[in-house]
Amino acid sequence: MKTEVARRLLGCHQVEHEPGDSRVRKAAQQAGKEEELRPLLEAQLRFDEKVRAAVDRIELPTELRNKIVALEPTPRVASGRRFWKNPALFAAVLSVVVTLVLLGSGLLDRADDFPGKEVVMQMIERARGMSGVELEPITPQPLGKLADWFAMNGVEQFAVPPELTPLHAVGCRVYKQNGFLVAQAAVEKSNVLVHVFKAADLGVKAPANQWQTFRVEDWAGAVRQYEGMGIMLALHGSESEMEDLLASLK
Amino acid sequence: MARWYRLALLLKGRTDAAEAAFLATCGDVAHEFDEIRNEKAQMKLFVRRLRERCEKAGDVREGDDNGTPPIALAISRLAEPMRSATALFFLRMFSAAEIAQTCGMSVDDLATLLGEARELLRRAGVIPEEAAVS
Repeated sequence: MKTEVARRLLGCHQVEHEPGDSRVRKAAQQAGKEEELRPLLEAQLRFDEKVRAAVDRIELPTELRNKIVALEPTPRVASGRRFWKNPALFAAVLSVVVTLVLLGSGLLDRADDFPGKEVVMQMIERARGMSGVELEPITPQPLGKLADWFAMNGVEQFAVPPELTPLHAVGCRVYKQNGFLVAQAAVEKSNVLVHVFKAADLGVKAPANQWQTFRVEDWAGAVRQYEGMGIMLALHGSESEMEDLLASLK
Repeated sequence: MARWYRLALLLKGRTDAAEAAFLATCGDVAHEFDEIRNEKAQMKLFVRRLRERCEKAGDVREGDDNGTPPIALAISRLAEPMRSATALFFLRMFSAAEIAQTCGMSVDDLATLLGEARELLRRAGVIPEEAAVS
């Protein structure tokens, strides 16, 4: 690296994040060896340390801290809070309630419904409220190769049916739905959000060999099961647009 | 939480304006954080929302604010995007590449900008005993 380039790059050298940028790291290594650059780097590190120490002395005012704490929702009763924070108990109760509601309204008999539809509709409601920044941008890669990314983010099992594996994802995240993890990926071309979750966790029983479509206001969803996983697609559009998308996957 | 407040103060330069921006941003992101498990992604979202809040509110310069430490005053007086880049750098929140991305510039430009910022801070006398570094 030319001395002049190294000198410039040293400007953003920081010990804490050094591995994050290889060029900056190389510039710092070079500065450690070059007589011309070493004093500059040492002086910069001294200066930065003093500025950081001054910044670190800024304390969060106690009054402000109390206001932030007050922003957090207060549980009605302590036991209620524990109940909501217990995923297994929450899911069990939710599943009973949803089943009772569905049985009571005779919805289970309808051909276009399936157990757990309420849950996947809630996922679409979430998707409707997204601005895009919630997703972690990734280098575009096929959905079929995202198992490692999701494993690193806490999702033990990630699988998508063969028709989805070639689609390229550009952003991912993991969030909790009713206390259970949901893997979400944004697909590059079709503006579709792919959701993958353990179907049994969320009480979803969708067809195993075909997609079932449904609508949530101005969004359309499609759901199926694959190897025990619930797979749900969501897009901003009509059900017929979703059906066109599904047809293009075959 | 303290680190995010520091960022607000470095961007605004006044404790009252920083507290208002910080509180408003906490309210903005509260529901969004429920959907983001990755801490780094949460930090990025908070920084983005806080910067939006600070830009919307504009610069507040009238009147004295004896509660603001000199280093925060000096950084807050830098022009954007140097101000945000410098604040994020000294808060150690992100790598250089992440700061560059947040501020919409290349790592090379960030390096140049931070070099200039150090010089301006040195001239402002916030670290009086330091000699020039470039």
